[in-house]
Amino acid sequence: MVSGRVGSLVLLLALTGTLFYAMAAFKKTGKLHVRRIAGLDAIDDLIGRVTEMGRPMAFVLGGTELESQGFASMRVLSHVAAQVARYEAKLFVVAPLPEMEPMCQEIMKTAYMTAGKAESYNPSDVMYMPGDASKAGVLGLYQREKVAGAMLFGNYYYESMLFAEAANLAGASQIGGTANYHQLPFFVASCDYTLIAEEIFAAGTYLSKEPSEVGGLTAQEMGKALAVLVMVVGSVFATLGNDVFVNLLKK
Amino acid sequence: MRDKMTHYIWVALVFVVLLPLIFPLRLPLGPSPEGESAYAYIDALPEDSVTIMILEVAPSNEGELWPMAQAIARHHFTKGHRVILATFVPDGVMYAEKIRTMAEADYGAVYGTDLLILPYRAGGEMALVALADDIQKAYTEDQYKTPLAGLPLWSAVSKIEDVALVSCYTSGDDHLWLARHVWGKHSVASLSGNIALSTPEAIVYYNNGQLVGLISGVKGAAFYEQKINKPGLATQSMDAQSLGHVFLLLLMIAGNLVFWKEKRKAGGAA
Amino acid sequence: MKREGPRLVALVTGLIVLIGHFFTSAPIKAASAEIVRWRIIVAAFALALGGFNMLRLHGNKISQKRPNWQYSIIFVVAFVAYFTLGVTTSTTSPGYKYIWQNLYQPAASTMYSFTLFYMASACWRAFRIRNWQSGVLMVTGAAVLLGQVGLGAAISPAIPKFSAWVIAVPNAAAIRAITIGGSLGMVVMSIRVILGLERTYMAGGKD
Repeated sequence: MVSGRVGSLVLLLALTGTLFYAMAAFKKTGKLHVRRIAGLDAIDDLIGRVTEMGRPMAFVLGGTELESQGFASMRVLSHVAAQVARYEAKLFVVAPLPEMEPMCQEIMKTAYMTAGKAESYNPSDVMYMPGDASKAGVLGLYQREKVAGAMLFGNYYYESMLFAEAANLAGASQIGGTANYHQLPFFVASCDYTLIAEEIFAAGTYLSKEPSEVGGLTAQEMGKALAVLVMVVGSVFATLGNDVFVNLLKK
Repeated sequence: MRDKMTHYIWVALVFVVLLPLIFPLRLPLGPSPEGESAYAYIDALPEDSVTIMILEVAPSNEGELWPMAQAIARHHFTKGHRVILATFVPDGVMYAEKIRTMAEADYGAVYGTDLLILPYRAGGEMALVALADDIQKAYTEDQYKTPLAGLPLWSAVSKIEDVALVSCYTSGDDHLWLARHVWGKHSVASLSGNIALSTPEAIVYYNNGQLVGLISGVKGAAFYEQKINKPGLATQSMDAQSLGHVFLLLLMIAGNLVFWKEKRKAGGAA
Repeated sequence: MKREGPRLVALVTGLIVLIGHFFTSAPIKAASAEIVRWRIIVAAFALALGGFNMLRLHGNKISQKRPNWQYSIIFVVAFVAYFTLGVTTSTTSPGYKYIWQNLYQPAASTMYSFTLFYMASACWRAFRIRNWQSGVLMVTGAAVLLGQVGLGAAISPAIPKFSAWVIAVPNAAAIRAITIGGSLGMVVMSIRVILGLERTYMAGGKD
């Protein structure tokens, strides 16, 4: 065992165990309580709005490498694509990474096929726009296509302000979500709804209610409860001059 | 009307930022305790210490990161440290070359002995993990395709623990990667140079002792330039930044005054 | 196999790297290090994939004469020329560096500079004090804005001190909370990807 990693191994096993337990419990009982997340409720309203206005919507993923926020964003895209296919609205998807483009195309294609509208699917609606080119590309997309709605999800950096405010200037309603805390203020200021940090990971559960999603959310909540417990008890111990928790977490 | 107002604001902004660059105001800098820590740590490193500078600099972030990377490189070469330059973004090698040109011209540095440029590696955090966990296996050639085995500086580093300091200049999350993989796994001193936007997050790691110093944005870069007595681009930019911040503040206040006036008018009309 | 294959690869490689992180077994550590190096190679191939995708996309646009196809010609010519220059000479050649310094660098810096303009319009339009909480946010934000530049210290030494306190105490507390929540989300999402429970990226995620 590598020194200093027992604590994280215990946490990892606890999270995994909770995930499977919650999955099994949900399959048996079907009971789930997730608090209302306004940003996710607003997705269907946004799609309804763009459909009525007859203007397209843009789903812009963020990221410089394929990681967990990218997967969470694609989970949201899966729901959005299903709704867009159902209502025959127009959706442009912008993927910042080459490996994301085929994944997004697969998601869109499946959504249209499931809705029985395979002929409406246009692979060119999924655009790969890398790096700095994506900034110019997305701004141009907003102005050229006159998008009525924009969704910004993923691992955003400075482009969050650029995209969010440009969409505002184009007259689009927006929903944004990122776990990068330093971009959250820009989303909160410019977007109509913002999903903060772990809410984008909870989006899958909220939208799909699949057992593995429910298990994942339960594991997250258990992890947070454990973190709060350790913080409170550890703070009390540390204040009393006992560093047993500090040393325990170092193991 | 909304579009017109936006355009007026943008034109005014151009003047607010441009004029101080042409007519410097020489406004004071203000304190930077984490910058002081960074300076003190590098200053205390013995001569011949091997350090790694990870240049995640690109044209999009060079305004903030390039001046600090330059200033710290100058400090290293002044103190006789040996510097390995690495990058995980494609543009980083261009800036590494600029540092090489500066080091050879101003400090008589010899490539291969005093500094080394490693080639770009894709993969972000994974590339840093590969560098930290087994640096010898992670790279076999330098940027110019010369086998590293023949270079004196490379033979001084068999593992990451042989390095006295790893510093990273980034607009991303590299300070987290340093805390996790360089300091966390290998207990090698780490220093982060980042854009001002990332400072509220990075400073938590500095306050915890996981980073030995922090250079934050243009202000941190200007501070470091003045510490090493080589005022440069960052020092010039601080006036523009100061006035820019004041302008943004005035916009917020003005926007709110207009908002309250319209609210009162609407309330009165109702 | 189209769906099981990627899940199996994710499971095996993910478990090896995870075990290599926690245990000191030399063969597992060696395998883990090798997988990390493969990841770097795969990332490089992904870049090449991206390049070919862009050529295909713009090539189709030109051949089908879709709207603004003329700009695609500029892209294809620039891409092929710069790529050929980099491959035939090297990325350290004077020609390559000349184009980078005089074309790419100014263009990319310009894109970044747009952020300030959009931030200015956001400051005018979006930062509204609607209640006492947003009032506190505005005052704190103003103090931190001024504290980050020398002007704050020139107005009053209390401003940078207050700014530093805001960043070090309430801001740090909020960041830690968001970081813990976000990190747990990332860990759980990663567990689900490794175990094959997250399948959105494969055919829409439905079995």
